[in-house]
Amino acid sequence: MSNFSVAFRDRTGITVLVLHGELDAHTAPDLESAILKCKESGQRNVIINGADMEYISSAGLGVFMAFIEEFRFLGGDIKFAALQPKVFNVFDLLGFPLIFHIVDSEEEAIELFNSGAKPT
Amino acid sequence: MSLNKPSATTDSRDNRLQPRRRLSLFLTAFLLLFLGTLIWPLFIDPGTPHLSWSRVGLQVAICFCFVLWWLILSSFLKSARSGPIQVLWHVLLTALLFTVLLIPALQIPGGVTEDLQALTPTVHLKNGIIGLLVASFSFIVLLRLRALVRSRRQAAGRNWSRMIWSMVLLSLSIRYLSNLDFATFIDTLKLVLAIVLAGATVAYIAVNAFRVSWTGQLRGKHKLFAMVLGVTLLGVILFLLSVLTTSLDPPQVGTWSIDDFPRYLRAYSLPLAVFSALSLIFGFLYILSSVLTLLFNIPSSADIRITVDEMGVLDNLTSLMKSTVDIGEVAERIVEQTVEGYQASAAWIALLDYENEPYRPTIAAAQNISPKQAAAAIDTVAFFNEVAGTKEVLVIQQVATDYRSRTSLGGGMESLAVAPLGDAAEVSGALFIVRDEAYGFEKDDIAAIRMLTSYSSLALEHARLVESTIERERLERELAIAREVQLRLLPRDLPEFAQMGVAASSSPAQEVGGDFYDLIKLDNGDVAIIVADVSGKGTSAAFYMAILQGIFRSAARVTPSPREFLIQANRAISDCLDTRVFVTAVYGLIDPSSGSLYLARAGHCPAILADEDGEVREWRSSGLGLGLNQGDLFKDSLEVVHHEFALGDVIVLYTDGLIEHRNKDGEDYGAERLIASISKHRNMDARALHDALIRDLGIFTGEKPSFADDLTLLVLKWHRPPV
Repeated sequence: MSNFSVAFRDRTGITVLVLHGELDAHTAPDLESAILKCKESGQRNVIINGADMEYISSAGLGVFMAFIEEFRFLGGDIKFAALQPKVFNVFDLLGFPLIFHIVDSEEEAIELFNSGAKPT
Repeated sequence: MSLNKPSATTDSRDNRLQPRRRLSLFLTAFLLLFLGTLIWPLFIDPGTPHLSWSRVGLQVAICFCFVLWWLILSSFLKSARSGPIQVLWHVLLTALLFTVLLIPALQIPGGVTEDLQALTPTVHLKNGIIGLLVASFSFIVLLRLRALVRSRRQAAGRNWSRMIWSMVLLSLSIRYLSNLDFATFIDTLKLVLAIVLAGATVAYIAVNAFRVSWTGQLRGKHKLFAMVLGVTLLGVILFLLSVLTTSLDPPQVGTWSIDDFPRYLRAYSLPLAVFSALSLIFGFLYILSSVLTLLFNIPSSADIRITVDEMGVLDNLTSLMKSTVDIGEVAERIVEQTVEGYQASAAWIALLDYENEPYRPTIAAAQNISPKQAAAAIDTVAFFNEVAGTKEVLVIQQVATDYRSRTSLGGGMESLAVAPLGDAAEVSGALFIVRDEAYGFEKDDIAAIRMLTSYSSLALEHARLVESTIERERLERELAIAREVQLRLLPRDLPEFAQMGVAASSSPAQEVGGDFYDLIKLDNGDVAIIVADVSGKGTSAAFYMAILQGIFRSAARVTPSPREFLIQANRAISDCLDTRVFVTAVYGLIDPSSGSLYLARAGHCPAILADEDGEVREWRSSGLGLGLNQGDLFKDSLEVVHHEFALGDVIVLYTDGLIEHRNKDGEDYGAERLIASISKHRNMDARALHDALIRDLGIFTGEKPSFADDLTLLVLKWHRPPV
């Protein structure tokens, strides 16, 4: 029934989570366990690639909020790349661009990680 | 470990309960006593009457000695295999061994007189050994045949014990009930007693002699073999019996004959002689009826009774479904019926405990054994897992030898059947049935148990369904109450204003939701208005919604300006929110007298304004959601917009559920459609406009929206120019 999936991609010290499908209250636990896996393996630099993510609900957004403080405390970050306009609109309305780095491409996000730029 | 309720036949079971040490103690006691009974007669003067203390004492000692011998043999034979062929074979071998051993015993020198007085002291040894041989033979015949009589019939144990007791009583009293003088009152009483005892013995021998249900399970070669064995045995027993009951001539001194042994036996102990004769009579009749049944294939009454019992149980289980819905009670009744109708010495049910993960089988009901004892006796989980895998009845013919049984196994647990309970898809429990004999389960027992468990599964499943329905109804009631409470948190009637009309509605996707709207008149005449959305749905969102209502009702009166209020609200709600939950809100403060509106948005869907120029636009001011940031970021990003109302201006506040409703093609309603709908109906008053917007949404989504979130819509229309 669930049409949501998470794929892992390793980009030299940064883990890219490629999200596919609709992220809602039912699929949020899948994303949560994926991020937990990053955390447990010591990987705290995470890029969320949203090129194939078609929908996000408030429960999906909540997953990022659950982890961000801890990741940043440990010197890492979660950044977003290539979000679809509709999904970006949801991020934007909520004020996420003020809290997170949201960029157009994965490369840009990697550059931000390498330059050590901190979100506001 | 012992069973709670001792069965009627405790004679040998009690014995089994004792440790091995008790057995060797018995054996020593028996040997000493037996030796004593050989020596004692040497000190009795031949002229002493039968009812003298010394003779009666000797007989009591002999009786006690042979009771011990019975218990010892019974304990030894308990674990012997109880298949009919083995039993008959065993009895026949014993008979042959007995005859062979009798010959040297009869050659011990010495004889007895007509009235059974010893001619030489060695005769007492001869008497004793012959007594021991005959008693052993008749005991073994009885003890072995018991396994056949009790096969498949628990109730048979009662009749069996009664037969043994009546035989014992008749044997003990025969001397005092014979040679009666009918003229005396006492002797008449004795006669009555003799008739009653003899009648009871005959009756019980007859009852037990027809318990031949085991004959039904023999087929082909086995049947023929059993018949041959039976006929041979009949011959041997008939011969011994005829000697035992008819040979009255005094034995010749110096020669020996097999005919002599009854005399020596009687000289040793009359009760023992009578008991042996009765045992052989029973053995003869029993084997005769068995052979005849085998010959004519007559179904035994016991078989019919078993079927009737089993059918009765199934019937009871069916009616149980109509009367009981409690799973625990259903399980209790099943084990109770199993013990009653399926010849079990104990039974229990283990059901998967669906309350705690991982699901493990736990004992739900037990009969004739406490759940604790049952759990201690065998490895419930291992047996459950096996039948859950095979979905077949598992039979362990000798429980004690199975690696899954614990060391402390005790009386009444010799063989075990484990039957899976549940439906075709899943095994949800197991029925454990134990019998007090090894090899206690036969082929048709297993078929009967299969039938029993399918009925039991049905009864349990029915109870489980009813229980879950009750549970669901209870939850529904709880949620209905929660819904009512939440509805009361929303304004029932919005206050009315001369300058503007307001219409609003909120409907949760589930019974309760996280949407919230409210509107209050402040003391200075201003009006505070809010629409908010707690992330997530359902009960948790509903709790935060209730907190939000409290914050709005109190903080808006103290710090009514949008900026101050939202900062306050952010601080207040951040303290109690889970990190993954946040709240979006749009808050406005209206001065009805001047028609000015100050509005701020905290991460919420932008308000839509339809102004006097006919333009409809979103008010997308910046602002973070509540609970996302507790520091300056929230304050710094919060933007307040200002608007002066003109006649006909419309403000629409809503939650994302409205624009995220989808039609059957999976298409979102979206803000554009909402804006178009507002443009179309903007000339209506607030209530009509509100209803039209909802109607348009309904037309888009069709009868059944494929996606439903909490949905809140508030429409405000300015219809009078400021004074």
